[in-house]
Amino acid sequence: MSDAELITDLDGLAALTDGWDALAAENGLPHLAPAWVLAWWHHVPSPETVPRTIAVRDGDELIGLAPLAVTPGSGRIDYRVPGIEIAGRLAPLARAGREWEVAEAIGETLAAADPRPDALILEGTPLAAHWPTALRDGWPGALRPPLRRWHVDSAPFVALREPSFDAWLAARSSNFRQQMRRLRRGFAAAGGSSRVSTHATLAADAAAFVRLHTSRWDGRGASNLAALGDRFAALLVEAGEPLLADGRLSVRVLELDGEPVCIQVFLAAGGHVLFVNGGWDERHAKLKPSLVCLLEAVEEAFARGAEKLDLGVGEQPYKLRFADGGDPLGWMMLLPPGPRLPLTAARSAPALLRAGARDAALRALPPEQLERLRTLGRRSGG
Amino acid sequence: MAELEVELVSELEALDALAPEWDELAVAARQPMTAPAWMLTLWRHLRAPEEQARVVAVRERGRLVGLAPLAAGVGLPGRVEYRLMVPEIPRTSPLALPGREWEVGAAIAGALDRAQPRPDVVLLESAPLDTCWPLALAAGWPGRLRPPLRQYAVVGSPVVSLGDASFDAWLARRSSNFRGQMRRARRQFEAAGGVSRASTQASLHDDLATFMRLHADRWEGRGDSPIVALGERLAAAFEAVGRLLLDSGRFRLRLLELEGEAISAQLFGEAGGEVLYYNGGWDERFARFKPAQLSIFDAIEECFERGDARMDLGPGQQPYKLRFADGDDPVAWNVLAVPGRRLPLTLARTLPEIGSRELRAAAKRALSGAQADRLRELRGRLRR
Repeated sequence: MSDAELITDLDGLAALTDGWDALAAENGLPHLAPAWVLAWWHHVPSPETVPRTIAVRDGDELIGLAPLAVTPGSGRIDYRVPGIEIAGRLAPLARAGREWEVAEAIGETLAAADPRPDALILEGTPLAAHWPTALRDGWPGALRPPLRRWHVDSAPFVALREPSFDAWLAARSSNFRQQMRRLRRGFAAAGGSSRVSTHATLAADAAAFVRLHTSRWDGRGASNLAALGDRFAALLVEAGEPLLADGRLSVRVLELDGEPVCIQVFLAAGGHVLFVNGGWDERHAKLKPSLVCLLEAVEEAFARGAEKLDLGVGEQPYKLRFADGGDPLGWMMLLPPGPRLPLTAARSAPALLRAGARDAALRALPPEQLERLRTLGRRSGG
Repeated sequence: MAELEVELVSELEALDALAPEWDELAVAARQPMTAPAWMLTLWRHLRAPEEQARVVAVRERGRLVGLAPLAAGVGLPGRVEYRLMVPEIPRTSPLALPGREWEVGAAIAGALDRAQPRPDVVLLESAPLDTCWPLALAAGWPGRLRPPLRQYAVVGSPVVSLGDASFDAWLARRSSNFRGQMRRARRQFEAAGGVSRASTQASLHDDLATFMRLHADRWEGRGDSPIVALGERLAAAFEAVGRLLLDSGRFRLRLLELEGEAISAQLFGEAGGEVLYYNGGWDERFARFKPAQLSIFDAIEECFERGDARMDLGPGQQPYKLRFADGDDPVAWNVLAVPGRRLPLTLARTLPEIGSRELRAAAKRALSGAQADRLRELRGRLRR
């Protein structure tokens, strides 16, 4: 039998670190490691955001954890797993096979929590997971909470099944091998070098990352990471303190003449490496720095004995050059029953309808009409 | 990732030719009973005459990367249903190399959309809950309309993780009450002259007859069992599966005997280190020895000897399973209604069935135990 505890402050959260880190590793969710989540709390959320963590124990053993953040919405009290503005693959944590029991404990605790949740938001959550159904079915009371999914996105990955990096490369197409070798040679011939951040270089590398990422997104739309700016750099530096030494955080830097031209950030836990994000200098586009950097990261992942490199949300072409599988993510909303449910449902409906219409348009319209619609949307949005 | 090629296979000879690659996918997906030795063999023995195999094979550069072993039949009045070839076996779904489910799902959906007879619904029954197959099929279905998809039942499936270094280490991790009880049951059974053994090629035929007999006796007066209903046909099918898989340890029939008489027979399948408990039967005259629990206990010891990773005790949370389980990995029932001119009719035919199931589930949540009992009693009276 399990017991649940609601933790409402960051000190209480920090005290869970050992058992929590083991859960993040077992679940292969590096983004949910305590060092990362605590650094997120210190640098990312708005001042009104408050922690509500449900720790589920069986005796002395921590068997589940939902480190949630309560975010003020437009009159709606949202509970969500923190971190979607940085990367996807977010979910509560549980020992293998205990998800349903943990979900029930989470539901019972949240139903009695203060403030009472209007919505439990699961963003960037693996689709092949028990959580949405388990949380819905495990919610206490006579009524089952409505569960709405409004978005699905792909997340390509590289399976590192081969015994070595060379064996992996040998298993790729000859075209891929040739291109990668050519790129590496070209980069080296231009005087390029590759390294990973150390404690000594992390602060400068984090600042360079923000600069490269922001300039890459300049004029290309909104980047949540660019919006965080220096706060993300500070998060990297804080998380790097415990995570850098054993490779759980890897900041890979490509340099030309001592100047960073590409930086990519990776997190690792339990054999799973997550590509968080990257930035590169477009002046050196011909050297394809993001491809070279990713190749270096694959080699490093093999060296560290990792099993899988998750390339993050989105099917950008450079990721698809490497990927040999995908593990899609879903964006879902669970609306707990209660007196405020009709109001919450009414407030959530427009966004859900917009998402439904977008999905229907994607299916129904030919690409050129879709592009016209997008242009119209951009214009009307200013 | 290269372009996928899709083929719809209906001929049994062609399916037999697919078996080696199909089996590799079942092992990769750790789905013992979705392997061709189970599916194709049971299909041959159990299929209704009007059912037709509609297996979608998905290849990349010639290599099989996904497969949906489906069959088309007519279900609810006039409804063309596509479902896994053998709905009687648990935890089955389409198969794919890990990480390829989403794109393979779209390829399967495309093939089903063009298939004849055109499906009205695709049913994924007793499918693992933590897969994206239902969504992958729905999202990948071609055309302007996304097919309505409904998950209409979820059933817990207790599991035993076998990650410990040895059977003794696993046992040491259990409660002292469990250890004491199981050791006592074993000692008493052995003291009474009991023997536990695994079926062999030589004993298989008779052992399966015993399995069927014990199962039928156990269900006598307790309601419907599909195993009892299928009877001899199922025994013959299992024997054919056993002949193929017994020697590799992927078909395991465990028997307990007292003075040469079988008092328990329990059937398991294995693939990729996952052991799936199918069902069993035991002689109630020997209930004091806890034959079902003792058989599973012995089967777990065998799993450790063979290096298996997990035992799935199958859908249903019976107390004897929960004594062993340290986790739950539920399976779900899903229906996907195919867009087209017949969709309104299909929905009209399907919704009452789903509605009644969901109403039952809602009543279970909302009513107290006593109220639920009264409702059951009332329903029983009305039926009479």
